[in-house]
Amino acid sequence: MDNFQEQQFDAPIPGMSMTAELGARPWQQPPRFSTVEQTTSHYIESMSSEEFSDKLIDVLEMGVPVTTIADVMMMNGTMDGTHSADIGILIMPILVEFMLLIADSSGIEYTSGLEEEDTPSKAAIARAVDKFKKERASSQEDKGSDMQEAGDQFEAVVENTEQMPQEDKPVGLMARRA
Amino acid sequence: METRTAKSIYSKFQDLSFLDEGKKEKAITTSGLLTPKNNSAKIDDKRYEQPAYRVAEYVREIRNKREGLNSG
Repeated sequence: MDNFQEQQFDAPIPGMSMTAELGARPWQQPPRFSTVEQTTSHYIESMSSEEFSDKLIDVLEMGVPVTTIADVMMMNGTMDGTHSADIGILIMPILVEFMLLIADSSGIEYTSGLEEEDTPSKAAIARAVDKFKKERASSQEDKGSDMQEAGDQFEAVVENTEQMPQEDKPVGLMARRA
Repeated sequence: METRTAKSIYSKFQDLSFLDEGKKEKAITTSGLLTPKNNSAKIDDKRYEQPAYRVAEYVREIRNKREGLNSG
C-alpha cells in the first residue's frame, strides 16, 4: 500500500508503449529460449567464461550486491528477447547461486544482498506513523476541553487590557521618549 | 513497481529440504547389456513437471559445490 504513496518518477509515460509498432520491440517477439533448461544452460555457459568472472569480481569488489547484478541480468535478458520475464524470474536463484560460487571461489569479500536489513521496512514505518497520528488525534480530543478553557481565559485577559485606561503620552519634539 | 526480486525469490530457495521429501530410492543395476541408461525415476516423478522444482535441483547442485569449496 505504501508503494502507491511513493512518487514514481521512473514510471513509463502514458502511451509510451504505443510509440513503436507492435512487435518491433524484442520483448514483444517470441523469446529465444522458452524453457528453464535452455535459459539456464545459456546463462551458465556465458557466466563460466573467464571474461565474465573477471568483470563480476570487479563489480563485486566495488560493493555491488550479487542480487542487484542478478536483477539487472534478468531484466536485460528479458529486454533483449532472450527469455520471457517469467522464465527470468524462475531462474534467478540459479544466477544468484552461480555468482556466489564464482565469488567464493575467487576468495574476495563481497555483499550478497541477502543480509537482513537493520532499518525497518517502509510498511512498518507507515504503520508507526499511522499509529502516532491516531494517538495524537485522540489526545488532542481529550485536551480540547482544557484548551477551550484556556482560550476563554486568554480572551478575558485581552479584553481587560483593552479596557484599561491608557495614560496620555506627551506629544512634541522635545517630549521624553521611553 | 518492484524491480528487486532476486532477494525475495532466492530466500524461497534457501531451504531445499522439500526436494528429498517422498523420493523413491530405486535399486539400479549397473551391469548388463539391457540396463536402462536413463534414470526413469526422474521421468516418473510428477514434480519434475514443475519448473520451480527443476530450478531447485539446479540450485542445490551449485550450492553443494559452493559448500564443498568453502569447507574444503
